[in-house]
Amino acid sequence: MTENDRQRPAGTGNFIARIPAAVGGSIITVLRHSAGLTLLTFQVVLAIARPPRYYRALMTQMYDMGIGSIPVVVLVAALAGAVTSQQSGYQFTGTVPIWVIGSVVAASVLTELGPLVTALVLVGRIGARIGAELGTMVVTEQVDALRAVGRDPVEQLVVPRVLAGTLMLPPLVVLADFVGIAAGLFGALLTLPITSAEFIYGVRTYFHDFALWFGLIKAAVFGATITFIGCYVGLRATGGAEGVGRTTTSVVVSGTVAIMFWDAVLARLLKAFG
Amino acid sequence: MIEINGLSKSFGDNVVLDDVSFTVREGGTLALFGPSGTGKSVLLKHIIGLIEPDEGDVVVDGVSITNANRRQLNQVRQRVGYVFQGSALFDSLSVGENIQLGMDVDGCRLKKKECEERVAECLKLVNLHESVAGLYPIELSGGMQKRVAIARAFAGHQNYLLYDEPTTGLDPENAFIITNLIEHLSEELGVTSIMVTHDLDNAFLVADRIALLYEGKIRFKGPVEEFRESEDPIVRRFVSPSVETIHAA
Ligand SMILES: Nc1ncnc2c1ncn2[C@@H]1O[C@H](COP(=O)(O)OP(=O)(O)OP(=O)(O)O)[C@@H](O)[C@H]1O
Ligand SMILES: [Mg+2]
Repeated sequence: MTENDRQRPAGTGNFIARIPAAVGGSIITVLRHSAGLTLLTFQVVLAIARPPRYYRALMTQMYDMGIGSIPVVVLVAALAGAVTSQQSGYQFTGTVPIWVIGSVVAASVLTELGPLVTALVLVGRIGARIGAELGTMVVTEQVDALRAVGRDPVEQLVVPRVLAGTLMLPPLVVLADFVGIAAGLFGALLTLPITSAEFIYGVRTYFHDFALWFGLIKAAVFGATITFIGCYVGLRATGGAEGVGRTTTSVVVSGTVAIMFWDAVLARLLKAFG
Repeated sequence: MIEINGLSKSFGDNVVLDDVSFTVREGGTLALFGPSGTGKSVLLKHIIGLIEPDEGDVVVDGVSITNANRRQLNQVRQRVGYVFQGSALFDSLSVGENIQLGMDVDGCRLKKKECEERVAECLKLVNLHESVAGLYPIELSGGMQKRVAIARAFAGHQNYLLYDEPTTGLDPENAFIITNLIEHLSEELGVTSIMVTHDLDNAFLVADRIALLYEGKIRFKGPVEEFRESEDPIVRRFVSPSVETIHAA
């Protein structure tokens, strides 16, 4: 860089002229991240084939992600279920049989709210934490130290986290489904002219195995996505504390977008198969 | 043997290493000097492939690090102990577990008891009490962390040791103990080592050869006596910094 380049003000005059370069730059960034994500996916798949090495770390992560997330998942699922039953109650009273509220709550909780709300909460709880943890390990050279003792950071750090997320989200979502529907029932009983028998009849009428399975598959995909993004972004951290800070923000933003994206894509698949 | 052949590395416009070459013979100890920020740590990281060179190559035990596959690289890394400048202890693991990670690939292939004995032995060699094994890195002072990092590097009977400022931040007594340990490892166990340091007195005690990295190039390489008596003004500035030598250079 010459002295002149450095002093040129970043004015708006050449804004238009800079657009092609900016677009080109964004395309390169997208391509670079696609390549990076693909590479990490391959490394993870290869490393999963060596189970004993990460067994202990996997157990720790599963405990932490699974048991540790129960309180927040229960709280959010309960709120989501209660709000859904009340909202649908206000809209439906008088127009359709009252038990339909049970069906509406079951449908929204099983296919959407359970998996989605759980995933979005865990982007913050799990994804951001993984990002910060691995980011700190990168900037304090602990990841280099791991390589220096002949270990593979993907096998030691990424695989246990991604596996734990994939395995633990489905049971958490089952819990969220259960709590969500129960809270929906309580919410309805407190505010609407409905009996629990009517509500449960409504739930039963809607309920079919496929909805539950579909929710669980979604949960596993979300779990893999959240942890994978946390690891990917964390391992690319640069700089000091500030770099780690940027990492957490970027995990939450990209994690949320990715979850929404999967939700839309998987909803199409549900239509195709369901 | 560690061979460094025409190593060059830039970060953007910042040329850090420019055609650096030297070798460390089997069982030898090389002290690497250089002003702060010249690329000593960067050079050391190239040796175990933590940084990829722009040009040139590093050969450890006949294995070219730049062309090695993942498996070969991990094998080399297990034979090379690395003491990071900032210690880089795993903060989620206890001191004992940190040291065990340096022992072999599966953490510790030995029986649990033998493992703990080796940890205690390593701690003793770096002048730490064996009870430290149960503590976490966050509970240690900087100097204690440094010594644990050294213990982790040699715990697996590594044939090569790369020290990035092993005595920086230690009190004179502990610096002396570490220097003696480095000497013991190289003299009695035949470990080949490279020691980056600013501590000339201690380096002169253990090193048989000196290299001076200056502005990306090897400004001097040779035996200790030659270094001390060199007429090169840059070398003089290092051996005996004074107002005169600094102005002369
Ligand atoms: N990952 C990196 N990205 C960009 N520049 C880097 C990176 N690592 C090191 N550098 C640059 O390389 C140069 C040499 O750094 P290095 O850490 O090797 O210095 P050093 O000789 O070890 O100094 P000190 O004695 O202070 O430890 C510095 O200018 C530094 O800014
Ligand atoms: Mg350094």
